[in-house]
Amino acid sequence: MPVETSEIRLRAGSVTLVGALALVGACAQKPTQVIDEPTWVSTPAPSDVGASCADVHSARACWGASAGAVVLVARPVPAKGDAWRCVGQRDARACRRRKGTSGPFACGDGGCVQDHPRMPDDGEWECFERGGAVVCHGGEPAAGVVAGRRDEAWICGERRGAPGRTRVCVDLAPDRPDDGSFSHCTVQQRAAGARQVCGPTKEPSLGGACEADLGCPAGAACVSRVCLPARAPLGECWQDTDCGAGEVCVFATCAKRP
Amino acid sequence: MTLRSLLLLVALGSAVAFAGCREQTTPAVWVLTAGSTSVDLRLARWEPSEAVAIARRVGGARLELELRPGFRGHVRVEADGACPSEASFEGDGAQATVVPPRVVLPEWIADVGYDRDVDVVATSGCPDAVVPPIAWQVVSGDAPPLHVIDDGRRVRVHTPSLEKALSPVRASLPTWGIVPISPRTQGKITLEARFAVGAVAATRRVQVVAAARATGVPTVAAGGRVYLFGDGWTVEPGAQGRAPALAAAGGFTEVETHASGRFVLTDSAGRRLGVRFGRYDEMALDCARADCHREVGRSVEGSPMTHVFERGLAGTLGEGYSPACAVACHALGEPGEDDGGFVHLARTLGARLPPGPDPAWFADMPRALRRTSGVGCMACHGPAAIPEPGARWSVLRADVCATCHDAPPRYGHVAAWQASRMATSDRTPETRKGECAACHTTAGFLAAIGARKEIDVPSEAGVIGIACAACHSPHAKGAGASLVRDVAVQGDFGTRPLGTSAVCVACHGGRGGATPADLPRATAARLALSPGPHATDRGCLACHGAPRDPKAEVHGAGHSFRANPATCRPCHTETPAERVDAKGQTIARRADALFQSLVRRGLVTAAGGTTPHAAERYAIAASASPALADAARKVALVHDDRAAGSHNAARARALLDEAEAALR
Repeated sequence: MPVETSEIRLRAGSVTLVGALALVGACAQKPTQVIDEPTWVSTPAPSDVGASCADVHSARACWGASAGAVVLVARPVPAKGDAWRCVGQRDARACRRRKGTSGPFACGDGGCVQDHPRMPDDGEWECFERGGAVVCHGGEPAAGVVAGRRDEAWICGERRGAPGRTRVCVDLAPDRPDDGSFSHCTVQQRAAGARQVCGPTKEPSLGGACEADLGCPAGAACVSRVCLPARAPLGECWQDTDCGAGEVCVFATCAKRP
Repeated sequence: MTLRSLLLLVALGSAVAFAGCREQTTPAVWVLTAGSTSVDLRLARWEPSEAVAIARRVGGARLELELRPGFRGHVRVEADGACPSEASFEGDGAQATVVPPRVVLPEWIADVGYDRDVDVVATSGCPDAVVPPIAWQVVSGDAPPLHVIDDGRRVRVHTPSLEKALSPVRASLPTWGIVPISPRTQGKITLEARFAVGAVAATRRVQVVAAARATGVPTVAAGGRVYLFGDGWTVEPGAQGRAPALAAAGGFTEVETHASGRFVLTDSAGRRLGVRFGRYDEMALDCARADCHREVGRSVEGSPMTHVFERGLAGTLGEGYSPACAVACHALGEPGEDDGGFVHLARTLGARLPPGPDPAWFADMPRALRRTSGVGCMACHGPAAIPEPGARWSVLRADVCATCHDAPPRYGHVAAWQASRMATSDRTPETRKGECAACHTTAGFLAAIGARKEIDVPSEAGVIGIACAACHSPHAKGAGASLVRDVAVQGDFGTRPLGTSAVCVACHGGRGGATPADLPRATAARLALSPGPHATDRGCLACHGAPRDPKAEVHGAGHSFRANPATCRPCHTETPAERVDAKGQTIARRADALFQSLVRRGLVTAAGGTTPHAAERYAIAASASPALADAARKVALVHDDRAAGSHNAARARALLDEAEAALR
């Protein structure tokens, strides 16, 4: 029996060792998963709620649930190590890498400049940036250009008072330089085309950290310590005069004057 | 040991083992980016292979290796033709590496100037590596023997002189202003480098280009150089104090243009030339606004030129379509130049073109690239603002189309046309005046058919001829794949629609309401359009165009407009000869005999004019009765059509029969 016992002990130790080695081996031998990434990577956002949701810089907001108030939800991305631009909601959400799809930032000591910033489509647009959102109006088709896929990350609509003539679009997640210290950006319209200029000024911005609404840009709410547009953006106004009496245009959307 | 103890031990062993699999830390990520288009990271291999949990390949330009959780140590990545990369990982976090090619060679050496030595130098992208010996050869272009240095690690090539490059086309060029430059004259030399890295053989091509193409229109790309005819030019600084740099260049003036804006250049005789310099990506493409060129904008929406790059990526131009090769002509800009064109922007954005057709790539193309893809407005009217009114005639020159369609043998449209009489139809001053201009000049023709307003063409414009823009219009509504103008022609030309022949018949069918009786000019239309064995849907082009082969048409065959005997086969087994009549005479011989008879009888005299047309070349005597005058006219018409026997032999014989009867 002792022998037997020792044999049993030996066997028990062997079983433990073999079990461990086998599992280690199984772990080590698991082949590398090679992924040929498509341009658009399906990236569902299961936390989406309400009528509409959108990425707000590195955060994600939904409107239409919770008594109409904006809520902060999870913002999944396909992989780390790069910036992503995402469109769609819930299961229909997809993301593509930002790199290579708009102009690169050229950075110096004082800030960064991006030629060829994003526009809603291939047409002619005039844009400005405020509070971390880019708003564009226009949309006259570019002459002699084959229209491509519209950038659906922009939220677009018809400008009030100008149906069928002018569109207004808002981007809540415009490009930002890799260097996070230059995160305050403006869009400059020049004769030679638009460009985005980013500097170090610390002004409240959508997607930025906050403690209260006052720490956010006008028209934004502080939700779970992140500044998000208080109302679902519609793309309906370019300036205050597009809205009704007592309203102002905030993030391309008419809202009651505060 | 109890069974319980045994199970405990197994569980413990399993737990220890699983600890290695569980995500204890955020995995480290290694992002590798190709440092050159010659590096394809899809082919990359890594060691140790078990270190990588997920390899995410983003085209050939980017590879993301997500390491197994907890991995510590070195990882090495290799790809054919690329330098090996190594990185050390001690925990989580991300590292980024640019992977250079083993042998660094430029793809384009653009705008180096004419008559210059250019050194192509190969360097090593790897820190400790040596460039292997390289064998060079000239694949295309006019280059003297290469001067190979240091086992091919450096090679010297000499670009042709501008004078030499232009010599085949000099007679067709203007005499003043900007020198038009086409692929045929841009002094492009394609070199091929062959070398081996270890056991792997590699081939690369290097394009050395003397000059960017130029339409001759005074709106040119900033960031390169253009040439002016003659020397002694001067320029004044612009509003911001900048001005292009001018330099003499062997009877021409070289203009370096780094600043955008409008500058006025003045030649030695004091003549002024306003030139706009700009970049393709700086131009607003709002030309088709409601208050501007809306109709033109609509018409080009469906143009095959507008859609050519899209069609290529969709695969409709063949599975062998190479976007990287095609962008020189299927997109805006000059490859290798910093002109805001497609290739420049693709390089700036880090966008890598697909190796072949890829419809999804087109659909998702960045906005800046899309706006410079295809042959849009700026291809002919840009890159800067459209020329000032006084210079808009220049867009009518064939030189505009020549920037792509003058690359024989593959694209021989312009070269073939230059060999035709169409190219020199306005070589004498008389042909540019009055009603002659309607069929001898492009501007006059376009005005005559109502396509555009009459414009003044200065004498220094040189010979323009009946250029591409007379017969083709990228703007015209209803123009088919070949962009042939749809011209409304008055007259009776038989039972078939004129189709693309209408643009020919507008001049070759006579003026003022031609009829089939108007030999020679209407006979071609009658031949092509009336019922009979020679009737064909291709009209004039059945004989005067390219063989029925879409590829031949694309490559410009038929633009000499010479009747091709090959088109007569297989119906005519040999080159067809006109059948002689019962008296053993041909139409030409009969017409000549009758004409001489008319001269002898004093019914026809030479009018002394210089026009080649029968109706004007001969004067019918005022004393001739109406019947004899009619007979004389018929003889003259047949006599003047050298191809009357082919165009409409039956009709020509009938006219001669009628004339003979009247003259008896």
